[in-house]
Amino acid sequence: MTALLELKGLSRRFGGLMAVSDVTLDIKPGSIVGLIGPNGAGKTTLVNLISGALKPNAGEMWFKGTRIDGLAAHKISGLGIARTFQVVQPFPEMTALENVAAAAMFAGKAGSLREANARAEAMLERVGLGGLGATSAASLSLGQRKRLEFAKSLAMRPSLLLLDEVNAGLHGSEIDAAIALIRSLAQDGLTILIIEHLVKLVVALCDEVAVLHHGQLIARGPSADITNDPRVIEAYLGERYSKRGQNQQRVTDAAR
Amino acid sequence: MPKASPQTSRHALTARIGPVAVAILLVVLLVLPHYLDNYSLRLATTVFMYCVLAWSWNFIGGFVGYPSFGIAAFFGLGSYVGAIMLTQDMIPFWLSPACAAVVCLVVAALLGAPILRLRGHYFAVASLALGEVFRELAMNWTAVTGGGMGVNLPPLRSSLGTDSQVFYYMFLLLALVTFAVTVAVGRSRLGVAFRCIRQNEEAANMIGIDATRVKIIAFALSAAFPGAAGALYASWVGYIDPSDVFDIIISVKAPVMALLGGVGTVAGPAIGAFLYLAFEEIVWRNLLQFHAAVLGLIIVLLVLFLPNGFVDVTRRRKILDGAS
Repeated sequence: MTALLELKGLSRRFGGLMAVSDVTLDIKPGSIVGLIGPNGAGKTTLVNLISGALKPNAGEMWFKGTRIDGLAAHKISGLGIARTFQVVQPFPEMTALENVAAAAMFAGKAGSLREANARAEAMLERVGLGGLGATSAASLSLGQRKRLEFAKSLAMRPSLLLLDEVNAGLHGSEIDAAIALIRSLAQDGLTILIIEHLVKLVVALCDEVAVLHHGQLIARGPSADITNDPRVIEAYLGERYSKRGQNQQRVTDAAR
Repeated sequence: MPKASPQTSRHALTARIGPVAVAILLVVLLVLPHYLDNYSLRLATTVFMYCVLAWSWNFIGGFVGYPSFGIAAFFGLGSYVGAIMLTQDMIPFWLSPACAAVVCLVVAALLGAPILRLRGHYFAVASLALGEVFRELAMNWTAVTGGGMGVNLPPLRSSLGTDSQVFYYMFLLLALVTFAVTVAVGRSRLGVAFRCIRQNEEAANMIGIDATRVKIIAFALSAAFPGAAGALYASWVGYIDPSDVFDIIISVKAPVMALLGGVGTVAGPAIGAFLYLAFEEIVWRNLLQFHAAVLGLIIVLLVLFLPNGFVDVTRRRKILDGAS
């Protein structure tokens, strides 16, 4: 099966720092891929590159057979890549409904204001903000604003959704609701790339996990295997822990 | 939901009263010149001109939130385009505002691409510099503009009425066109894009808005109408020179009027234009020495106490009512 999104040798430098370095990754249609890595690994930079907020210094990006590196952000979102922001970015002077309707109107290519509003209603309902449409976006709680970001992205009718730490700052029940929502979206056939800090959550949700460390893709595979990969443990916890893990493995192997 | 209902009924009420009020006002404005002396007629004509400038600034400064000080650049450019075309007898008088508007629209669209990459103060300074550059050009391109000597325009000699009446109606028409475009843009997709960019340009790009193109459209709109107003002004006063039509004070007046009335609203700039002219006539006449200081004082007071203009007073009272 051909990939929906293909990154080939993607790099982005900030001064002397390689924030993203030679990343090659493909995402198959209909899959949920997790992207994990410690703080400063380059996860958000990678999302910024894919969504067009930043331009890569080297490498290629292909989406549905179109080369998209170098395209402006509004063009990329028009092609069907939607993203949420780690730090939520609503239009504060607009109501929740207007926020979502604006997304439906432009990248979502809604034919009329009525169609945009109707779609916005449906999306608010879907993310659990039904009835809050007339509320100003500025007066929503953080959890609600995260869901508003979700609704905006969905109103764009994307084929690929990039979720940048949608669960950061949320408490238990809100995270559960978000997980349920992501699962239901995946069931509808949406392809999702989740950038997450919480490894446990990624393992639970994703078919496949990619691990970024110092801007490089250090591991990739089915989510169950990835947490046992010594390189991943080393990236997260340091060398000592990964060695200890290996030693323990050896000890248990020997005991058998 | 019950909290929203009084507000929506009030909205419905203003929506019904609005068009009627505009229609009555229009009839009054149409017959007014027959009852006014020359001085009052000049003031009324000036109000319309100020309305045009304030509404124009509102496109880029109010809706999109880019603080432009470039109104004088296009007012001056328009007045020179009109003056030169009329002295060369290239077009009839009534066509000069349209020609000036088109020239300003194109020039602004070309200049907008580089200038609108800047944000905030940087954009403000760059837009301010435009007027100065244009003024120097008009000063030194003597063969075309007459340099510092200025341009004398042919008198109107219209059969339709006295010159004062003709200019009153021309400026009224221009103000109405600017108003109509403001209303139309405010209700369109373009208006939504304007407001999204003002609130968060990056997020606007992410939901598929071509922010660069949209900003250029706003900048071009905010140049076209001052251009037309400049062309009319040139014919009205009969003589223009660079320091008059590229005066920085024009670039300051437009945002002050919009701020006074209400930024980013439809009625605000017109209310501001009226208040500003009243202020200019009453206070400045009595305080000739200090009028610049008084202008500064207004700006400071506005920013401190009415950041959203007079239009906001009613809105703010509503919030207070809700809180008590």
